[in-house]
Amino acid sequence: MTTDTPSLNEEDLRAILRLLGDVADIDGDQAVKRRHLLTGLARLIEADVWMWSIFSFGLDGMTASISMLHDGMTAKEFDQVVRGSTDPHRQPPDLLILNSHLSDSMEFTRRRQQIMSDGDWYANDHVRTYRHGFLDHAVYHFRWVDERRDVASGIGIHRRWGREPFTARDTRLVHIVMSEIAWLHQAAVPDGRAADTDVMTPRQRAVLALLLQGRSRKEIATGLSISPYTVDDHIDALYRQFKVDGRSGLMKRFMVGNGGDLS
Amino acid sequence: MKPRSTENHTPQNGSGHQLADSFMLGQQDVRAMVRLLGDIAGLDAEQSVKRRELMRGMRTLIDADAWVWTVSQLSPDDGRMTSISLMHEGFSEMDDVRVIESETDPAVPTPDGPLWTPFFFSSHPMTRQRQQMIDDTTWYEHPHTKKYRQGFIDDYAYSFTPLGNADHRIASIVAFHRRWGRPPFTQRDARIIHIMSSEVRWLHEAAVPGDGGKKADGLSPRLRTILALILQSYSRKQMAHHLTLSIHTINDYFKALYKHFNVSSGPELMRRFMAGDSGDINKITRAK
Repeated sequence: MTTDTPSLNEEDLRAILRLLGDVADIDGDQAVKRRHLLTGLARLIEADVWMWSIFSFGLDGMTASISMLHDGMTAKEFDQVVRGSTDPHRQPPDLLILNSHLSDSMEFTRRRQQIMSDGDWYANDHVRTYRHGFLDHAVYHFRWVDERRDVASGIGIHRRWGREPFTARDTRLVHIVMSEIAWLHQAAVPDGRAADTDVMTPRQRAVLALLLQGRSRKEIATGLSISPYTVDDHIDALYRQFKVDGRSGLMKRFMVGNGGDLS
Repeated sequence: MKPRSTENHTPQNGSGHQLADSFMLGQQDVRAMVRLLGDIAGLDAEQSVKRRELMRGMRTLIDADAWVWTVSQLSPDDGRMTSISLMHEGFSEMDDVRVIESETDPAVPTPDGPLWTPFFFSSHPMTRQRQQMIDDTTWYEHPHTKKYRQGFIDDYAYSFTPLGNADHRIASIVAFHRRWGRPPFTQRDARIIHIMSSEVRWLHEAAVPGDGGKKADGLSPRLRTILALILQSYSRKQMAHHLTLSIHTINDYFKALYKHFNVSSGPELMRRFMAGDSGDINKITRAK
């Protein structure tokens, strides 16, 4: 639930239906459709970047986050996001607040201003280190993947630094699409859930996220400014950790509807 | 003859478009429409399955009893409208044949047929409820209504979408019907199908034989009935039963149709009318 009350005007409804109609016409798997839908949605609210992540929760709160899909960033910029989200000394202030909101509701949509004042945001150490000059305003949608409430899906839609904030209309639009389209959030995390991912190094997480996005070994090397051999080492470590013998096996463990071994 | 109260609606010939445009859908309807199309976007299925699901979903949203997807063509010679129903749901088999026969009966034409002519030249989709096209008195006293609709189906709401350019004079019509005695469709109902039908382009993607090919408007009423039933996958036996004809007569009609369209089988005939299968047809989509 959001605190925004205005309904959508007809122009926005039509734009959403046109987008969904286009997605329905795509001859591709769910990942392709999801990407098209989120990119279209970002365009509707004039956003620059979106990221979809899965969060695992243990008894002590959030234990792991995995970036599943994103658009609008270079590999280098994405690496900065991953490093920022795993920096123990400068944790992302928005994610901490959003995760605490999950204890109150099954799903919600918020603008950054609704959860944190401009003053707090721009003075924050994480923001100054990892977001300054790069990514600023955001609309977030978070929801529990199921009633067990141990895995949540979070989608952040962002504008680059220096752009104007999102409006109540933007939040409303995102909320209606995200809350009515269940398959957008469907993803599986490996059996044992949290246990697997929280022992990974930040670099491994970045490599995992890029692998799941279908980037080649060479692209990953260039994007992260490391040698392809180092990338190979990271990939081998990931395959070992997830007990798979190739990229398709790894993909299957993270995408729904493909492997029988998913919880 | 008025089978029910009509106090809440008056004939509104010509003003329907404005009225419908100014009507705002409520939050619940907006969400239901997004959910319906979102579910379909998530389906891994071919286009005909998605089309059926979308029509079904709209039928539920506006509480209609039946729907029909029709491609119509206006003859450049005599200005008559020829319709081929490509997909439908909600009629029983018997009713189905009755509806198809009613559309192809030259002796008792529909009262509203000629009123649709200007819509073929429109640059954008138009949606009309029955009472916007024809007032209650004319409707209920018309011989066509009495012969084919009385006690069976009554009001309709049609979304009319011109395909290609105006020269083609071809349109896709998604039609929703309510049974006799039920209340008429409302502005809100019309608005829902109008918005959905004008934004989802593939709902209308149909193929019609190219300009060089023979067209359905050269067919006799009986052959058009048979063609419509073939396109809806009726067996020869079912056709013979419902039209009270012998199987041999049906076979003769099939031969005549194959010859007319220059095809050698039923599936090949289907492909000439359904989009996306065959290179020998012009795929015509929405204007713009």
